[in-house]
Amino acid sequence: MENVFQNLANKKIAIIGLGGIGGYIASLVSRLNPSTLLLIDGDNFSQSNLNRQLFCTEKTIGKNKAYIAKEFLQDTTKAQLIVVEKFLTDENIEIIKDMDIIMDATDNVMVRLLISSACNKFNIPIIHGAINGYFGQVAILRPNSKLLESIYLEKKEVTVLNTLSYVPALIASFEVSEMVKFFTDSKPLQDNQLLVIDSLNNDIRVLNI
Amino acid sequence: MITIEFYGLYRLNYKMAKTQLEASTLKDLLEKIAVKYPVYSYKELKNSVILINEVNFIKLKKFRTPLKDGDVVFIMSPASGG
Repeated sequence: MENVFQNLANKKIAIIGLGGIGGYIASLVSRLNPSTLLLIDGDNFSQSNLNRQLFCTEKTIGKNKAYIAKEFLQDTTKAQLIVVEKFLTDENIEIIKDMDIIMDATDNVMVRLLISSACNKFNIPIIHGAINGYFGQVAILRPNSKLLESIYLEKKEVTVLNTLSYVPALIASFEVSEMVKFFTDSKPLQDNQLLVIDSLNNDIRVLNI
Repeated sequence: MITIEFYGLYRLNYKMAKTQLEASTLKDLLEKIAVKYPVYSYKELKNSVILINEVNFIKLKKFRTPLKDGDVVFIMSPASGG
């Protein structure tokens, strides 16, 4: 297990989205003490986030999610914490180009495709994760992966159900697990594999996409 | 008969994990699902992740993929929330 900490000690990790999945990823990854954590989110916490977003409290409503994540994490990690209080766009996507890996915790398909395209160009892997109701999915998108295009097809927005607090935590845990396995070469998901998790039915599978 | 496995959102909203139908192609199957279980339209079903005997339909003949007795078709709506 020590090799995990040694391996991550020089890694620069970006977390894109500090809401449901991203808040839990930030908490979990920060305790693995990577070199740098780049926290990116242009959104502010709102009342509706209280039910599932780790860093959303009555006191943080109205404040930027990435900024608040840093406030929570700075006493628990040795990582350098860098905050970007903006949404990723074509204009600012270059801020991720020096990262070793991207943790996808965004909430829409178009941003995911933007990140995927940029990471192909910058040669950076992505740990993809998404949730819907009781259900979620995780994958490793190595550079030039076509997995996102294969699963979202022509559908650029998917109907999203309300979710409960434990579902983003569950998917965040699997994303961090896959990140660690990727860096330590410990049987991570392969290029075309999608891990799907249905917590309502305890049905977990790895699909070949 | 073709066995259809619903996953995630579809399993929740169809209120079943599996069903069986007769169909000659994937398009035929999705049209029959939309008629028999009108929770989702054919157009909505077309945007699913679909595996036929564990192979992604986009690697086969897409909606023209022929189906035969005993085939298992897995249908899932991808998640996109965060």
